[in-house]
Order: sequence, then C-alpha cells, then structure tokens
Amino acid sequence: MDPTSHLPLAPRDLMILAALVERPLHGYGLVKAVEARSSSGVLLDPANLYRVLRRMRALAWVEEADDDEGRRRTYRITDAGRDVLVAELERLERLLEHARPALADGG
Amino acid sequence: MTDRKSVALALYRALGALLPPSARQDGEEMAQLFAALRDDAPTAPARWVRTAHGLVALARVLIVEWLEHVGARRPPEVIHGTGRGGMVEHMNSGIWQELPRAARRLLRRPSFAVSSVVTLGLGVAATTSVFSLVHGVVLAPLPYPDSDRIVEVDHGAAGLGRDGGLGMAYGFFRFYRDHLRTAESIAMYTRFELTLTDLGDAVSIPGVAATRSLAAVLGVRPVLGRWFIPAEEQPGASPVVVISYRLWQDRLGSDPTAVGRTIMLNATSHEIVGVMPEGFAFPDPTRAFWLPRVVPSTGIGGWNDRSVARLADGATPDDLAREMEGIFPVIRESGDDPERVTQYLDEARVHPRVVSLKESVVGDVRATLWILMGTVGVVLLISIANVANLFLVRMEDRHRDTAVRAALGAGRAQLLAGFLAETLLVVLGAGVLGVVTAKVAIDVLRARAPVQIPRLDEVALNPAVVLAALGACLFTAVLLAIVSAHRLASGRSVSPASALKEGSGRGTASPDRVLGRHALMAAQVALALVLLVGSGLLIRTFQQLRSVDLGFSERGALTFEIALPSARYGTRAEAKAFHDALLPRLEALPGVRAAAAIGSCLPLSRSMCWGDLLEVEGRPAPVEEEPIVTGLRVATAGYFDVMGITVRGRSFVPADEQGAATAAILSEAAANAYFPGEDPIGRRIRIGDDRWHTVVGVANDVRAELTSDEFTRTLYLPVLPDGVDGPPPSRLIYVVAASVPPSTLTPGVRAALGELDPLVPVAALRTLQDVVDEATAPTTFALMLIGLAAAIATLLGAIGVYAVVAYVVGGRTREIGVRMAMGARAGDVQRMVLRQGGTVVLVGIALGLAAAYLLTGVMAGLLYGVSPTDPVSYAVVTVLMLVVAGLALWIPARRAARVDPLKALRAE
Repeated sequence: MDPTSHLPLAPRDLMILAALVERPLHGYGLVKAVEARSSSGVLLDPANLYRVLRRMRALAWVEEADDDEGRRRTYRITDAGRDVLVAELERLERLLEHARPALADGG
Repeated sequence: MTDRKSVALALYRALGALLPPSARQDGEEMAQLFAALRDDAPTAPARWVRTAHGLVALARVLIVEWLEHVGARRPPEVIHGTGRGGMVEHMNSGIWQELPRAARRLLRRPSFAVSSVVTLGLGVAATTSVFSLVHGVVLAPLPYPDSDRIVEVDHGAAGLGRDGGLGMAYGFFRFYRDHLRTAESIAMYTRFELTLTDLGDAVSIPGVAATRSLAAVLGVRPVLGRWFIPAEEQPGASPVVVISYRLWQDRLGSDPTAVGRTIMLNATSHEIVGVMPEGFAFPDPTRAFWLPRVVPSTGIGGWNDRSVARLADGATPDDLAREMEGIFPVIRESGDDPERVTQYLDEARVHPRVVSLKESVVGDVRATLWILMGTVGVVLLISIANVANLFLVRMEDRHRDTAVRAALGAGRAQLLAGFLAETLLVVLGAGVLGVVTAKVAIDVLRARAPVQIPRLDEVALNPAVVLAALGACLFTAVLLAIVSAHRLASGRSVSPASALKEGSGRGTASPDRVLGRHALMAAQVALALVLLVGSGLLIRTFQQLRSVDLGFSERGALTFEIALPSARYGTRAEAKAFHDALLPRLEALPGVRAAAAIGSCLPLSRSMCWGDLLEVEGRPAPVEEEPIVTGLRVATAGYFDVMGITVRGRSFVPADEQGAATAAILSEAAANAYFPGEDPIGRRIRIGDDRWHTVVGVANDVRAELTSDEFTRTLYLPVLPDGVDGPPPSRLIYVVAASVPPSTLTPGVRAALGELDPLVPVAALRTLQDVVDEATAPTTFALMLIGLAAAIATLLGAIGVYAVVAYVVGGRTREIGVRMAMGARAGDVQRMVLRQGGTVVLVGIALGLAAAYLLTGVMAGLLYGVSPTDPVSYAVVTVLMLVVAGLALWIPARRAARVDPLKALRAE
C-alpha cells in the first residue's frame, strides 16, 4: 500500500495518529492528548471518534491493544499508520519549504 | 454526586445499546468516554451542560451510524481531502456531513430557502398561536382539581321566557345546602365592588362575597393564612377578608405578615385572614377580594346570587337538576315567604339548570374559536402547498446533479440523506421563525383581545403545541424528501445519460410533475380565496354593526360609576343628597355642557339590569300570559338630553324628583307592550311599590344588546329620596357631555368628588364611544384575526404563484430563445406565459369560490346583516384575487419577454 495515496490527511486523522505515535491510548486519553497539544483549538469530536477509529482499523493504521488493567480498549498505531503519518508530515514540510520563501520575498 | 454520575452513565449506556450491529461494540466505550468528559467539568451546572452535550452527541452518532448501516452496500469510505475536492466528497457520507453541504446549496439560491422558510414559518406561527388560544380557552380543563365535577347551578324561568341566567336565591340555596346528596358541596356567591381606602389612593376594586363552601367546591385553599371559618359566616361576625395574590403583591408588597393585618373596605375595617394562590381567578381574573356571604336563615330573597357546586362521585349534572326539582315541594311546605315561593314556582315557573362550569364559562366563544382554528389550518395548508411546490420545482433543477450522483453509484439512501438534509434545514428554520413569531403573537393577542374571551390569562405558548407544529413540519419534510428521492431514484425521470447530455437546460419536465405543480398552485389560490371571502363577510358585518341605531346619539361624553358605601350613606335620602350636591359641581366644570346620571345601567349593558313586573291602572295583572318584565332605571332630569335620546311628550324636570309628583317615562318597546295601539301618556302605572306613577313621555328604544332588541322595554323613574322598589341612588352612572376632550375632564371630576367625599372612588371611567367599542369588540377581534389570516394567505398564495412561475420561466430560457429566434415576438412570449399561468389561477379562483360557497355557512354565527353568500363580498374578493395573482404572473412574464434570444441559445 502506498502511503501517499491517502494524502492529504484530514486534520483530525493527523492529530490522532500523531497522538498515538507517542504511546497507545484509549478513547478518553486520545481526546485529552489532542486537547493538550492543540494550540489552534482543533479538538476531537467525541461523537465521531469511534467511527474514525473504526475506519482507521479497517485501513490497518491502528490496532487494538490490551490495556494493562484490561478494563478499556486501547488503540495503538501500526507500522502502516506510522508510514502514513510520516508521509503526511513530509508533505507538509515540503509545503512549508515552498511557502516560507514566498512569504519572505513578498513581505 | 456519584448518583448523578451513574445516572448519566446509565443513560449513555442505554443509548449505546441502540446502535446498529456494526457499531455496537463501541457502545460501552462511548458511554465511558462521555461519562469521563462529563466528570471533567468543574462545577455542577457545567456537568449538567456536559451531560446534555453527551446525550445530543450520542443521538447524532445513532442517526449517523444507522444511516450508514442502511446504505451499507457500498464501497468502503474513502478518506476525503480537506473539502476542496470534486465529486468524491459528495459520496458516502451520513446525514450529519450532509447538513453543511445542504446549507451551502440552499444559500447558493437564497430565494428558494427564504421563501420556503418564511411561508412555512408563517403557517406554523399562525397555527401555533391560534391553537394555543384554543387550547388555553376551550380544551384545557379548568385549573381546579377534578374540575369536570364542578358545575354551575343556575335557574331558568319558563314563565318569563328565560332558559337560564336567573342565578340563585338565598332561600333556595339554604334548602339545597341542607338537602342535596348528588352534590358533595354547594356554594353561593355574588359579585360587587368594594372601595379600598387605606392602601394608596381610594380605589374601587371588584370583589366577591361567597359562602364558606366555595373553597370546598373549587378544591382550592389559600397559599397564606386560611379560608373562612363557620363563625365568620354568621350575621354580626367581625369582618374578615381573603385577598388575591396580585393584590397582596401590588398593595401589600408581598408582606409575609399580611395575615392578621387590617384594611379598610367600604369604610369598615376588615381583617385579612388569607391570601389566595397566584392565578386564582374565580369567578373572573379581576376579583381581588373574597368576603363571607352571610346566608339569612329565613326568607327566600331575589335571584341576585350565583352558585356553583361539586358533584358527588358518580352523579351527573342531570341528576343534580332532578334532585333540585325534587326539593321544590319541601320549599313550598316550609311555609317560608309563601307569596314569593308561589310567584317563583307557579307564575315564573322557575326550574333548575345545571351545566359544567367549564361549559358555562367557555360555551359562547367555543364556536368562534374553532372557526379561527379552521382558518389558520387553511393558512398552514397553503404554506405547506407552497413549500411543496417550491420543492417540486427545485427537484427538477437538481435533476442533473442527482442524476450524476445516481450514475456514480450513490444509492437511494444517499439521495435521501441529501434531500432530508435540505428539508430538515428549511423545516428547522421555519420552526424557529414560527415559534418566535407565535410567542409575540400570543402576547399581542392576550393584550388586545376583548375581555369577553374567558380564561385568557391561562393562554400561553404551549410546549405541546410547539412540538405538534414542529412535528407537523418535520412530517411534511420527511414526506417531501422521500417523495423527491423516490421519484428521482426510481428512474421515472429521464435517464442519467440523457440528463447529462442536456447541459444546463432543465429539459422538459415530465407531465405528471407539471400537473402536480399546477394543481398545487390552483389549490393555493383556492384556499386563499376562501379566507378572503371570510374576511370580506366579516368586514361587511362590521359595517352593519357600526350602523345599527343604538337609540342614543351622544358618543363623546365621559361616563363613570359612583357607588356610595352603605355604612355612610345608609338611607336613600342621604344618597340622593350626595348626588344632588355632585351634579351642579360637575356642570360647573369648564367645557361641560350638561351632566346627568342613571341607575343602574348604560345602554349596551347586555342584560335587563334591574327588572320587575309592571302593573297598569285599571287592568288586572295578567295571570295566564307570560308576565312582561320591564327594565327599571332611575334617571336625573338631564339624562335623555345628555345622551341624545329623543322623548315624545316631556322629559323629567327637577320638580319630578320631589316626593309628591311622580312622573314616569316608558321606552317605545314598553309602550307598545303595555299600551298597544294607545297613547300611554297620561296613564298610570305601578311597579312593585304602592306608589302610582303617571306616564309623561315615551323615549326612543335604547339597545342593550348590539344585535337584537331584547331588553329594550324600559321604565324610567326620577331619582327619588324614598322607597321605590328599584335601583337605589347609592349607585349611579354619571354621563358628562362636554365640548372639550373627555380626558381633560377627569382631574376636574375627581376634584369635584374629592370636595364632597374623598373616600368615594370613581369607577369604570370611559367614554360612550368606549362603551360602543366594547360591544363590537368580539366582532372586531374575530375580524382582526381572520383578516390577518386572509392577508397572510393571500400573500403566501401570491408568493407561491410568483416563485413557481418565475422559476419555471427561468428554466425555459432556452426554449424561449428558440421561439424568439424562430420569429415569436416579445408580446407573444408574454402572452404564452400569462395564458398558461392564468389558466391555473382561474381554475383556482373557481374552485375557491365554490369552496367558499359551501364553507361559509359555518361562519353564520359570526355574521350580522350579511348572508354567507353575499354577492358583493364574493365579487370584490374575486377581483382582488385576480389583481394579485395577475401581478404575480405578470412580473415573470415580462422578464420572459425580455429574454435575449442570442444569449439564451448560447448559454449552456
């Protein structure tokens, strides 16, 4: 599967993958992690969260992991997911490379 | 705290259990998530908010998941881009994603959205406000426990030609109270005005004297203090009073120690023993006092009170009436005031009349209110037809769009979601607009409705009504959406391929769709016409009412009531002395032409007011025929002059008010009744007492009822200082005619009164024109409402016609271009549009006239002097509708004529 075929990622998907890359999280944890790192105020809509996670599982970007305490389901990023995340970040970097000089010239 | 958390969690779990199979596994997780988010909230109110948010979010999830589940046979969802993309973004999304897209689509063509929202919103507003009125007045039970068991206990007198309205006599009440078993309690009450003097300005306030049993009958109890105790109902008990909530708030400042305070009522100190609950309004919302009514232990009395009772379990009003008749022999045998008993039971043939209290309160207006309901129902139908038509037309426009989507594999559920989203937005907008407008309308209705509409204070924007209105809208919306999606997706329309080939043209619409559109247009015109006919008839009624000869010509005079407290004006002579002193003072005011007084009722009082049986000298009192009851008034010398009532013979002079000479004036109707074919002037008559009066004049009939000549038999006597069996001079209505505006007289009047006795208040201050207006108020009110509904309906009909024609003309630009290129002139094009639209409108008008002919019979009760098939109204309304519809057609027709054929053909 070519990760770039899924680009550009919706901002919501990007945030979820970025949060999961640090450590596996369950639903509540994800919401809080996104909230913590989001300076621009983009938050996860809890209503949609599980649908999105289901979709990502279907695409094999995340998988379920066993919680240590075994109470709640935790989600963990997969290698495929990592690849997609990396591809997206690279795309964004290239965008910035082009945009920044343009801004500097234009003033 | 833990309780509430677990409740919230349980609610979430319950919703989670409703998820479709594909998503159910996440249910528990979601519930936990929302519960955790809820707990994050710092304060209790914030937690409530979060709980609500969680429930709403879960509801959304349910809808989305189920929609996806329904449309499950489709390729897995593609992760779409950031929204700039083309077709792909329209695929495969649930309704919640559809809404913003639907909003964008609607906003691209605002005329459609705005006209749909406004027309549907108006329909909802009208229906909601009138239904709230109908619900509050007619449908809702009275605000007492088990109110369907409360009845009004009334009497009729067959011998006087009266079915009811006699009320209760205290002697009869006594027997009923002691003997009745089909009623568990019975109460008697009478209304009167009391003068309150020590809480602010002296003011006359309506109150009620009632037997202690009233609280038991109604099932209410004071919110502060207590109701009366048996000792307080005995003659000579120290005066006590129960006051209304509003009085407690306004004049006692909601004083928690009000119970036990004393207030001066009618110059006597009364102790406050209780305060009634807020909203308690028996027998009407103006009453602020309840005093004990002492029931004399002997004697029968006159029919001056009213009565209510609470039926025993299982008893019906008829049972009670029968038991009451069964008590009549007991009353006879008691030997109490046998003359009166005979007069009542044998001559007047009094009989009981028991109806449910709600019926007696509401009965008169019920018919009118249902007619109003029908009217706004029609308005709602028109607005729904309007919106449906707009949707049908719009559907054709989106023909290509949806055909493409169908070609790319969007299932029926998909299309349904799109339409559903649009209709949902329109309905939501209409609902909000409708409810807000209804709230305003209800407030206006309550402020400006005539007093005769009972229970108006109980009318409020009913949440049930709002839900019902919104439900109706939603139902319409879903229906519209399903029909639209079904017709498109089922292939009854042109196939997707040919739709794509056609380019931007809307192509030829299928015949059944055109027929549907035309049918809806015709229906709108027809319905609007029916309403216009209704209003036309009411306008004519109004004109007729205004031109009724009321018998008096003065309108600008100021009138007010004076009621002298019996504690200080115990004898007739004392009361007359007061009035003798007041009249000259009034006449001395600047600008006053003349002043006079009458006891006890002005014209248009709607009742006999004070009536008795007349005896003519030289004739025996008739026994077989129905004795004729005559209204009795006392009038000062200048009364007929001031009021502009013509008198044949002579009017009263001041000398008539001295004891010896006793003049009398009969009304025309009374003269005809007692002296048919003869001249009554010079003849002698007697009423009640043993003093003979000589008829000196015959006065023009003065109407008591606006639309009938009932109660026009009247005998006028001078205001005398000693006993006449008639209205006492302690209660007179003054009429002051002036050449200055009446409002400028008020301070002078109060000053004049204040000089004589500062503790006597002025009541019912108004002009004679106000009196007339109050009598026409019910018709005015109905006219206002139905006229407004008709105006809205016509507006909606016009908008509907215009919008559809304009839209269709816009879509036929190419066709028009072709025609013009082939030689058609602008005028021809215009005529074509007008002819096609005009046919529909004419059909609509014809249908409307036929429907009006059939339906206006329902309105007959509201009309006066006008038949429901009055040709003038029909003709005027038809012309009006032709003009309005013609305009709605003409504007787009002109635009069609101005189409540039080259541009039209080139456009793709």
